[in-house]
Amino acid sequence: MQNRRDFLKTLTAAASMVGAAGAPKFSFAQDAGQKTFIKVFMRGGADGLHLFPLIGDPFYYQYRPDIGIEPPSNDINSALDLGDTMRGMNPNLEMLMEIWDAGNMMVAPATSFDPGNRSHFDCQRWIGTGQTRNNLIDGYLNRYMQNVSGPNHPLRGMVAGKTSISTEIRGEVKVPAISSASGFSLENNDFCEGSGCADNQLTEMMREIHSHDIDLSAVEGQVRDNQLIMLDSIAEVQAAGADYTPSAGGLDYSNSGLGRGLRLCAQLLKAGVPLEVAALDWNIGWDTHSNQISDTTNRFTDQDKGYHRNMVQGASDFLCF
Amino acid sequence: MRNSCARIYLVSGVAAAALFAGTSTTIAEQMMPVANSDESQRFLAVARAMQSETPANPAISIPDEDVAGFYRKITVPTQGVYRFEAVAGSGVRLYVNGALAIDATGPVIDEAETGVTALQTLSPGDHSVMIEVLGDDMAVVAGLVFGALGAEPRALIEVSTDISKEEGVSLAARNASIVSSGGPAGAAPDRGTGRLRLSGLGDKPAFSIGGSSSRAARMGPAEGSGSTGGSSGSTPVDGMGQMRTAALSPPMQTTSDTPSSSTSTTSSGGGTVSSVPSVNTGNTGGGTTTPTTPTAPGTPTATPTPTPAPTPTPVNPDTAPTPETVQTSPLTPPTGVEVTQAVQLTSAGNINGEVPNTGATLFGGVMSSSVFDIVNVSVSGSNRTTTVDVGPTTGQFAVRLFPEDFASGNQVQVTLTGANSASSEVEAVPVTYTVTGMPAQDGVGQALSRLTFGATPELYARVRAIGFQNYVEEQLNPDNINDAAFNSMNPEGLLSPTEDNSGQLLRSLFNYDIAHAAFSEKQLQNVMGHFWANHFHAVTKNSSIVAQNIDDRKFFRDNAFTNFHDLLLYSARSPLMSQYLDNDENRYREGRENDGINENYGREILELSTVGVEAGYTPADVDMVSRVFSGWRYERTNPNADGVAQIYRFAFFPEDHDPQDKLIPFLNTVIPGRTGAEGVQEAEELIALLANHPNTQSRTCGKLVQLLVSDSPPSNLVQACVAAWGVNGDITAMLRAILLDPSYVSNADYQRNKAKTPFEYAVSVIRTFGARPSANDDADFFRRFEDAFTTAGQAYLYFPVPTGLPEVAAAWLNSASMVAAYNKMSEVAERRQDYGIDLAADIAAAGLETAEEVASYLLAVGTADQFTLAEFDQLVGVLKGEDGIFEPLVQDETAALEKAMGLIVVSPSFQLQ
Repeated sequence: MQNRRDFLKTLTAAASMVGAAGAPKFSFAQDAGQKTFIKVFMRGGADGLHLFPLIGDPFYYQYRPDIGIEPPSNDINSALDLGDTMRGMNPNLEMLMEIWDAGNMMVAPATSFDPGNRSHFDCQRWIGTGQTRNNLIDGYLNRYMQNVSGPNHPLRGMVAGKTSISTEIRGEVKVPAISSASGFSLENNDFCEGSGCADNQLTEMMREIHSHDIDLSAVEGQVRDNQLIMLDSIAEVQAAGADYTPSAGGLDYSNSGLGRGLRLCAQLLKAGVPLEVAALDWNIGWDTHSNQISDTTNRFTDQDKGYHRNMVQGASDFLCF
Repeated sequence: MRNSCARIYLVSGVAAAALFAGTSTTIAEQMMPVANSDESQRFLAVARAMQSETPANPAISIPDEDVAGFYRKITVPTQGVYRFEAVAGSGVRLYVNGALAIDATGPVIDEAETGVTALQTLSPGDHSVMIEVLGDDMAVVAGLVFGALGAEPRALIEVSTDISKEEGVSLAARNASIVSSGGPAGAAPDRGTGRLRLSGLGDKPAFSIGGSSSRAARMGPAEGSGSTGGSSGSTPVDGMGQMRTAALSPPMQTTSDTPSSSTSTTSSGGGTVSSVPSVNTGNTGGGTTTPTTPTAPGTPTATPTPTPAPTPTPVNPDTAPTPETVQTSPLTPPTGVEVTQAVQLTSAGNINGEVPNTGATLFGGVMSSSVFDIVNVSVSGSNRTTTVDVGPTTGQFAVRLFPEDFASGNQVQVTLTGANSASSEVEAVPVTYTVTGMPAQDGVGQALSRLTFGATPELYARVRAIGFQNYVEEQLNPDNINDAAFNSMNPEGLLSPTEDNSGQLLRSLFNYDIAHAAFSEKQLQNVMGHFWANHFHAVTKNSSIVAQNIDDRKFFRDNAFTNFHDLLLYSARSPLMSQYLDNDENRYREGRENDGINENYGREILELSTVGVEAGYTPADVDMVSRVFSGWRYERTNPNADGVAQIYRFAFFPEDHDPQDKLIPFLNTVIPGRTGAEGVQEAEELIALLANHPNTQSRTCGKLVQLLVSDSPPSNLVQACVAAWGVNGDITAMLRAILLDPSYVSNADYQRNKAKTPFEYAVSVIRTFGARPSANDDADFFRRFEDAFTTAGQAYLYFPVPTGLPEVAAAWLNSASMVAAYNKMSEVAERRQDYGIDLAADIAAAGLETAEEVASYLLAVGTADQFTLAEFDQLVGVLKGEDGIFEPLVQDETAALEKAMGLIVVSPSFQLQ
């Protein structure tokens, strides 16, 4: 009987096979050497020791007598073997093994900053700003865009798959937040002419309103900047094709924020958009404070438990293509 | 430069009076002499003399008995505008009811000039026409043409009958005597058939006639006016350029003989002098050769401006009543204002002529909308020119001023020139008003922007009527607010408190919240209710404690003005909070010190509910605070009920409470440990301490000021709030301290400087456009509004982060939130009927007709009267559509209004509060 792990392996193998067939499933239209940095924040604070258990450290099991994940074995609830005697991987993240095996994944354990405090929210902000005890500075991705010349393009940076601007990329350089490519348009049928609202008089009027140079207060300036970024981004996203589907061995992105965001990144890159930095969230309620294991036999992999299921789903969204 | 082609003389008669029903002391006006003719010069002298002698009645110029001529009588069936025309240079003068209407005695200067036309508004009945022929050739009389405007013109001689001189003089006198007998100022409205008096005529003529004659006719500055500024001298745009086309028929054009050669188009160089209405600058070329002013030639003060008199009607108070000028609403034109000028303002700010320098709408009226269907406007300061429509039914028009108009000075002169869209020859004498731009300090905008979920037209009027401070006090006493209209909507019926399905229950709560925010008169209470619920944010987290959401949000609204301590205590006891921040798992187990103590709530009551992370507490403090709260939990009150929502209430479980003394270092306090039921007192004591901690005060006040004033809270207002904290945080006192601080309404930096959150945005759409659920609505009404803010990221009943949702603009001004919210509200606009939105009825009820009036109205409601010129222009363009016509009282304009709503909901100023 095929268990979940087998099933996942099947999928992974299928994905790998397509990759091995040599057909480039992914092509950058960017200039040679230009890279894209996609930051995925496990919003809320994932328990690193639960994702990458210290299988070689007896203290790990001493302090986690109930929730410690066993070293790799044939048990479906055991950790995944990363070829490292000290550290394994949560079994729900098996879909990431392909990336690991390809040498494209690194675990940076126990990173922190000093001095911290016990505020989850300050810590999140400081991770985003790259500076502790400074909630005012622009996010580090935004500072990068300010200080490193790059493509003059509305989608040089973006937030994908969510509706708020992540701290990492918030700042002077305005970037769009695109929750979902498929819904990223602004149309009022009363103002639409042509097939598919080819002539969108509403957005034209919005541009016209913004074309007048007036003395703007701070908040008016914010409205203006973000409306213009919105209008420009809509055009670019629509040009990149909203219905992109990866050809990754039958795998597809989930409809979670992470899945939508990663799909959009892939779609834009395939269309040649010079996307440099993107901020995404992988938010499955990591910060549960408790109750991360199941009462059933498969304590760490019972897919009836949302926490586990969502981990699997998220790991599956990191498609190789 | 030559003087130009055809001239039209305009005379308005009693017909215009009917347009202003009931008020009706209108007009009788006037003829202007012809340029470049000796006769006209002579007439000017006469006119001046008359002006000086009989300022109250200068319009009547009954021909001298010695003047040779013959009289005819014309009878018109209905009141309306009638056209007289003579062949240019034919040596004919025509007097209508004793007043010179046409003078075709001058030389023909412009080859294109073929006819001289006068438009007269005539009442039904008989009218005296005297024809004077200067030359010997009486055949020229045959060239006189007469007819109703738009009708086939006929030879005057054919449609009139011969009458004796005595009859003619008598008839003319009778028509004219009404004016004379009306006496000076304050003449009772005359409802007779004859002319009505034009008050203020002594100060200036109301009409200009095309051509240089108009300049000649201009009188000196208003009596008593200290103005030395004159008008701006800018040239209004040619009305032909941007007009509608349907207003008048071709005969309006002045050259019936050779329509192709002269017509009504203003030539750019030295053509029609009518295109240069400004007179105070003397001869500036352009073919103007007549004196700049009959009274003081060459002076720069010839503009008949009433400046600096603030009243929009430039009348001498001794001779005419001052029309009502105080606006009770910036949205709609005043009612019952007597229009005494050909073109005039009826409303221009307050009694002192002051308007907000952030923008203001001026309203005006014309006597005859069939003659003046547009008004050319020039605004000094910005040197802006524009053309506005005159309502064909109302005779009203609106002129919007914008911040840039006041950029170069507070005093702005607005020059109005009545014109006709079908003929650039038709022009009234420009009238100039001075308005003074003042900082908006009445607090009305603040009240509507911050104390409410958006303005409604009714609330606008109300706040203006009672004033900001009274509105604040009224709102702070919600028990005294009559909310019968809202209660009659049965808002409780929206709730599904026993619904077992959590999604449906929470949706019903969203609907209930939207209804309160949109329709309750207790606006500030609802604003604050949302604030407190967000401050003590808690949501259902994988539990069956769902119905508690309803109770909690009701509590925070109903107690929004009580005190901070009570709200904090309520929050700490709430089963919803307990399950959300895991205090239901916070259980002390003797002998196992660490096990069972869940610090989540203990940490967040410090960081988020009270003192904030800057208070300097340590993990030891968090541990002790958590132990104080051990055993605080809940119990279900309907354990045996199936298929209905589970109901819980606070319960303290002594067996789970840590009975030891708790040293809380950062408070420098020891909470004595207690056993049994008294253990609950520990946390109550701690709550009392936390509720009055200085950091709690400053942090909470900072959030309040951020909500009500600015994303970056001004420290002086935070301090004022803290000073009002009192015992336990007196919320009413704190709100008073913030809202009634003088700077709250006087500091322009505090106004319209915040962005609406998506919830505020969606609700403001309901309020601005008057959306209402139908009586039998099953909550479908609320769906798109809910979708607007939830898909924009403000699904506050689901938001997982204990900080609550942010208030600042930066959190919401992003493309994802905007796209989500805009699309949903665009759908509402497209389906406005489903939402009970009827803008056509609204604007009709508001007495509005023109595109400029309606654009100003809709934007003013939506933006607390602060919006941009670009937004206004775009909206006017949408209302007028491709044909350039917006006449909602004449034809169906609902499609245009629907588009207007669609544009406003995405307009930048509508995003602000």
